[in-house]
Amino acid sequence: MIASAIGCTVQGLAGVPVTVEAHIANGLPHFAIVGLTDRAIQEARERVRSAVQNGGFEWPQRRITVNLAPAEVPKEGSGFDLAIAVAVLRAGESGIDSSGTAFVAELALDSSLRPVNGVLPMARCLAALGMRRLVVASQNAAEAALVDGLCVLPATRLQDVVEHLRGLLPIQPARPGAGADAGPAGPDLAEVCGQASAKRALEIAAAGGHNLLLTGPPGSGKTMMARALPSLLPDLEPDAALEVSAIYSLRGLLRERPAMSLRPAFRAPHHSVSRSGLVGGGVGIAQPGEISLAHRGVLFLDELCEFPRSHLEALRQPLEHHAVTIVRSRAAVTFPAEFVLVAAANPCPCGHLGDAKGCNCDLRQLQAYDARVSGPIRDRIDLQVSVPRQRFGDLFGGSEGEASAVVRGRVESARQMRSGRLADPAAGTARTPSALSRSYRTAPAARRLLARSGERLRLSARGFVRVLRVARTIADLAGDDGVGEAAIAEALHYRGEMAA
Amino acid sequence: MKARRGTSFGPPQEAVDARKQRKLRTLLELYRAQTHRQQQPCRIDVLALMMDGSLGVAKVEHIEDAVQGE
Repeated sequence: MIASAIGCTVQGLAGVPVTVEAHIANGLPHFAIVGLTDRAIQEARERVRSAVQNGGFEWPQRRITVNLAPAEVPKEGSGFDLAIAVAVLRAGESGIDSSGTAFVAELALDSSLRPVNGVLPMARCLAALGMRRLVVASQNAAEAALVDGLCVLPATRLQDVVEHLRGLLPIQPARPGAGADAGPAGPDLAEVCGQASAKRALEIAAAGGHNLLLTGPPGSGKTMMARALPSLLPDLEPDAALEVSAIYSLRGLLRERPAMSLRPAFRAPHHSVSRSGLVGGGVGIAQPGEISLAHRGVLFLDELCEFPRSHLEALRQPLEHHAVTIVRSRAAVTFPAEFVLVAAANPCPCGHLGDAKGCNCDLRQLQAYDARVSGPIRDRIDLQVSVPRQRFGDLFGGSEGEASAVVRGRVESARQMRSGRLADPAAGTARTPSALSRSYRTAPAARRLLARSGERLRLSARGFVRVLRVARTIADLAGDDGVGEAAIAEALHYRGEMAA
Repeated sequence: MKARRGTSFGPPQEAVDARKQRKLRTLLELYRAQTHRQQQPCRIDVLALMMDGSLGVAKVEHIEDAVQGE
């Protein structure tokens, strides 16, 4: 007697369907699970057996072999429990129909179903492969139901699943949850007093997805402004939001950020974060790190100079390629990591370099501090602005600034302008600096300014392109068709501040 | 042959665990060596007996070639 059930595992963000085969042979009672399994799956033997017995079913007192195919894909975690139980029960008795249905849940000893991580990416993969139904623990139903074309069946006990498969008591399919979205968690831009130039840089960063470094003395408002950035970003497209939620599902973080949320993520890891916590990794099959959790959102590194240098260097490739590939002995996985990097730092160890209060660091300290952030990282940060100490008058007498919603309106129209331009095939494929400059409609005077100042600043090839991009964003914000001298000058100014 | 009066400790065939299987295999090999039957094909079957209250046999399960491998 042989029977099977479909389960699923993940490799990176990609789901891999797994056929769970169960064979019951004559022989002394024995239960073996094979198929490149990890410890959790071997322990499933005890869970599944207890759950089946406590669910009121008879455990076959014979030789049971369970195989997880394809055998070459490494599998881990407790999500196969339910599929194993269904396969064994089907092998033992007829009348259980599991065709077109996949099963992803952990089993408790008392036969109830427990949620597992990664259900959303699994559901996406199963739906794409034409699987019609997916049985999950009811706690996982909301995220799985977000996937179109898949009927998600939430269950609380193994008995319910078997009753459903026997056609006795159908389970009601889950509906996707309503878009219950908590508003932006960060402060509103209107709450930040003064700091006009830094606010302007925030707006450009939000519109063009440029990386931003805020430098200033302690207490000047760097952190607060960085936290206000998400409120300037428009909602994500549903597809993009689903991709972000899939990453959160992998890490089991959907309690922090609801699966149906359309808001861009904001991640602010502390500088004591481990390198695999930042870029991804961990034991077994690699998990997404903070940079992937910040996908299509904001990664905020407060106290940039306190981060170990090796961590920052690890950000270099993801910053260019918007993805990170982690190679492990068992598998190489790629996670998306398209984020806006916002960093905050003090200008020197005491924090008051260039401030009226005066800096009392000696030259060696300054040099050592400066060297903590390498040139290649600085080269990737397009917007470098200082956030000076605010005076009493700015804090208590100044008028209220613009609210985030107003700025977000401008950001949205700038982004529309950009996507309209990218839809043009000639502009969409422009790669070389000169093609880029043409497609951006850079005015001749602006080109001359870029040539003159860029050479003086010793800009790298990447530097030139990045200045051009920032200038294009500035023109988009202004609603200008072409890139003028003023836009180039402003873009150069944001880059030059640190190089000077 | 293994007998049980109740299933509180599992069915009788489950009591033929890895240790008992090893002992049965050793026993078989010794028997074959002493009686010079090494070349003769053989197998070990398990008879699982469920007893009723008065120690009569209520149910018999015969598992052919139950102990395999080395």
